[in-house]
Amino acid sequence: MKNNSVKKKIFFVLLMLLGISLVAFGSTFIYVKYNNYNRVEASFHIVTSCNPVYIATLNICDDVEGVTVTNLSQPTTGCLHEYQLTTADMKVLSTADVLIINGGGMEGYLDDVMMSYPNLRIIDSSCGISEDMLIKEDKEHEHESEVMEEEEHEHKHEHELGGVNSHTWMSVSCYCAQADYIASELALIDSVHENFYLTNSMAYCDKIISELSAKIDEAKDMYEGQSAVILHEACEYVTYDLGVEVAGCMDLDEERQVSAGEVSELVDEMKEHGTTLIFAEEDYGTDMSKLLSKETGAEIIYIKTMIRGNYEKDSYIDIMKENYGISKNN
Amino acid sequence: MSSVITQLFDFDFMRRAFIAILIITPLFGMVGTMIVQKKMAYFSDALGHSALTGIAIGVIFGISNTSISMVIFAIFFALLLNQISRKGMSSKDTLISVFSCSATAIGLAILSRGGSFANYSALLVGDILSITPREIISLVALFVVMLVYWLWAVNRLTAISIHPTLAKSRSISVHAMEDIFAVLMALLVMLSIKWVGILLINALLILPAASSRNISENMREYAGYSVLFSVFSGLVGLIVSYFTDMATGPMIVIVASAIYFCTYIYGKK
Repeated sequence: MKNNSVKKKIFFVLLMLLGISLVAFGSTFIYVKYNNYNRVEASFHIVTSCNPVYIATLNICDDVEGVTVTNLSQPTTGCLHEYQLTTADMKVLSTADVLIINGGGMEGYLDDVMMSYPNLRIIDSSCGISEDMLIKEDKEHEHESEVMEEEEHEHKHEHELGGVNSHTWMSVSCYCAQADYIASELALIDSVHENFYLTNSMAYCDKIISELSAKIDEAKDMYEGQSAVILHEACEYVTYDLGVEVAGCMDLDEERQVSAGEVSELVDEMKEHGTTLIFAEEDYGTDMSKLLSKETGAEIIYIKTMIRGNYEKDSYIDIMKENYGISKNN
Repeated sequence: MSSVITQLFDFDFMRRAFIAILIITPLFGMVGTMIVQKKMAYFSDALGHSALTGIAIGVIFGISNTSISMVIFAIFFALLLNQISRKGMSSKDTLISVFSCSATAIGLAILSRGGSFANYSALLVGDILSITPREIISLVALFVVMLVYWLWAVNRLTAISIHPTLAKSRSISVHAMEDIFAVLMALLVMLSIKWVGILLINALLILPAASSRNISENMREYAGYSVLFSVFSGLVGLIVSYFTDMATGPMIVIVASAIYFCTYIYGKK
């Protein structure tokens, strides 16, 4: 009798595990079939770490035969430096010949990648930017509240190399320098297509400058010499290009918890400097920018940081046009 | 079909994740039986939450490897909790809740100082794909220690869980056994929290054992089925997460939950 009960139980367990396996693997099979995941079988597979670098590489590799450019998954929230690689990213990287990164410490997962794929060639596009084009700590805002200083210091080190703001693509000149560097490095690795890379890069940079320089000059005429606070570090390159002085910074993302003390300190700072502008990122800076504007009467300028994008070849130019067209909202 | 399966093992990170799952899940299955038996589900949950305070202490003292401060704090936390709950001044679940909330609040307050908790948010969900060979070695060492302790202590712990006074009369050192178990549990939770995540680690400890309890009639069945369910959930969860690009920890818990509901229905008959 007891033997029967044990046998019945074992039969139930086996049946249950088999059933769960069938449901799990069956639904996975259907999911994979409809999501149509294929391993990239290009003769030269380039993987990029983020949207701005992807757009630059896409233009540099335009019409180059046998070259495929894939971007790692875009972070759905937050900034790049907080991003963790997904299984999909690991699979993409396993077929990559080259990984192109923004650099400057922006890709916090780089050590993991280097450990998992020691033979993968990595192009650090920030190496193409000359030091005087980068925003360093001495050019940066002085304001950091005492409370946040210690913790922020550690946080900043993760995406600033040697005290440099690593959101370099937000400066048109830095971005062009990065594109040139990517092209020259790709030309060395894939010398068969050297001319294509170099010519495409030159054409792309010319296009960027011709389409954006008038917009930048126009915005510069409007805002040069004014004082601003920025609510995202990426805005700092825009303020620098516009000749706007940064009186304070509060780097906001979805998990940033702001204390009342920080806000009041920033408001005091703004009043003291006669700050008239607030540069913010729309996703995370809307509420805070409105609050600061209400307290000080400063004008809000929203900037798109391009951490996420639509993968269109001209999206960098389009977004920078919007940024320098200057989107206001009070 | 075979190419799909071999594709899984093409990647170093998947091979390491498989090995880690094969080490962690039997331990969870084994230890979970005693946690369920001794009604310590809240205790292991509180231990998981104390990881935040452990990291925060590491940050304050400038310890570069915060795993060390996490483990030390968890051991201290577990022993302190045992000590205070023995005094019987308040019910055990209330005490554990107070400790758990306090540990979470202290950790969150310190880690969000300056507003940036984002650096630590990965700990909430965990990432088994980034496990390194060195970390696998530490898990193997833990596996050996736990197994030796388990073989030696399982009967004693069972006796304590059934009737502490009776266990004492049989010359079993109840307090020492409980403390050693709490320390080993702290080690297991802290060494695997980075891969499983604070939010889900308790589910992995409890679900396989609770499922097994639904259908078991003796201790051998209880432990055997618990380990089987735990390993099965781990492997199926990992494979499904690989193909669907979803986080591994939640997928394992979904499979373990399905097993729990099936065994619950069977056990009700």
